[in-house]
Amino acid sequence: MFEIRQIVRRFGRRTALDGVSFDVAPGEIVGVLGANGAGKSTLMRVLAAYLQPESGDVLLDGRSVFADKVAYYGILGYLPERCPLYDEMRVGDYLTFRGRLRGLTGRRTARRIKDVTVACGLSDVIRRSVGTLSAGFRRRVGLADAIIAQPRVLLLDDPFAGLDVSHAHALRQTVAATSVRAAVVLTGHDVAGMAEICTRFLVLREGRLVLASRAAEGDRGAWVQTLSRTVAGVDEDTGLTALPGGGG
Amino acid sequence: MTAGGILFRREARTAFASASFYVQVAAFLAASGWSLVDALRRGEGGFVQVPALWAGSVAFWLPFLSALATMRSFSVERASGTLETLLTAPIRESQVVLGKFQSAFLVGLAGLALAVLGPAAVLPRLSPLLAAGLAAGPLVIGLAVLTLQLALWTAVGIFFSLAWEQQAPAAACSLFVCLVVPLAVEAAVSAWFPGVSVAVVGFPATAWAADAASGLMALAPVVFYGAATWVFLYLTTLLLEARQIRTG
Repeated sequence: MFEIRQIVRRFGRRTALDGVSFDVAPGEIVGVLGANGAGKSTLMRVLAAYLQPESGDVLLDGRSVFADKVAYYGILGYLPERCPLYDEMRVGDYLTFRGRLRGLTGRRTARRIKDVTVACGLSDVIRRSVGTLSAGFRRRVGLADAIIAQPRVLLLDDPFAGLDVSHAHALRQTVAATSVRAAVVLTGHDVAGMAEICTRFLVLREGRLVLASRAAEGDRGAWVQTLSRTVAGVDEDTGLTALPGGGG
Repeated sequence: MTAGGILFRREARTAFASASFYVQVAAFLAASGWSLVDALRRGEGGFVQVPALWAGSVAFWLPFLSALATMRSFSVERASGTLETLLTAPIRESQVVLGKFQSAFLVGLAGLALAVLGPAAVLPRLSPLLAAGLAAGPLVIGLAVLTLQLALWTAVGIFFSLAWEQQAPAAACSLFVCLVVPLAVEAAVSAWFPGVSVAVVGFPATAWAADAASGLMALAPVVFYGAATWVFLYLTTLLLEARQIRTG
């Protein structure tokens, strides 16, 4: 179980995260929604143990991920918002480097590269330089990197941003397939697209979790519309499941 | 292979595959070669120790080569965002620093090796008399001191490439510390402790290298360069850990 407990993170006087708490079970895909500046990327960086919170903790199987970060990074797959890659490397070389860096043996890395190449639709660009790829293919490479070591925790910060419909759909299917063995947290703005795979949604506003909602089983269109209005701050009374205590 | 070794291989391959490496080394060889020829001309008719002149010529330009070789190390990773993915891989900060240091050091060693081979190949054709003075023993000792200096200048360069997101200020700070600070310390010692000051005119590192290549080998510079290198690598590791907390 991946547990987030009362995370508080400040930048100077500004509170980016204010008492954020939630759990993610293996096999779950939790979508974090919120307007720009709501604290989504900061939350992802804290969950990735890249940023240290002022208070609160992130636990995996009851143990703080900050206690042994290197061990945690071994079972973490993380795609930051900017999807940073080494432009001068070829896609295959980059994935080999990242797989080896994550502790995979040479043979296992080669095997996993074959798997993620198929899963992320990278077969045609495997020999191309990363710097020559389109934004969509760069996202695919970033996702391939995040899942190459079969992580137990997968964090994807706005993974579908700037992608066309077919690219985004393909990536969503890859994430859904990965979630069988991993606790997945992803952020984004496309509620309708995320609703295809997310089992649960959280809404962040000014660093506080203001709403939690299970994915709709009935009229998805109406539910997506209501959730979108909540994220935008248009509807205060949404009828969605409010978090106990308001901030979570 | 360890994570640090994997990073070192990637960094070294990238460095040697880039055109800038060859430009940097060519510029270094041209500058140190010009300095050597100038020193030989000025010493004409007098008692000239060729290894000492060679070591002094190379020592002055070594900080320039190190500054150029290291300025990209961390600053590019910071600017592109790849530092975030690197630091969320299962690798310790100290391994990251060592991997970067070793690859930049290797670039410097390549330049240094060519700077030895150049005069050794050219001098016998130009002047058999001067070539006779190129004894292997003093050359090796001079080379050993230059290698120690290179380690320190590389560690300084790595530190400033992490401190700055832009390459130019990183290189400028590195040159300031490697060239200006030693001169300032030398001047201060000469002014405040005239009895202690040694009869050295010019850049102290140049004088130490020249002394070593003349057979005047002392333990103090060895200890100083070794300790200072370690201190800068340690400071870089601390800065990297702090940056991980502060990056927002």
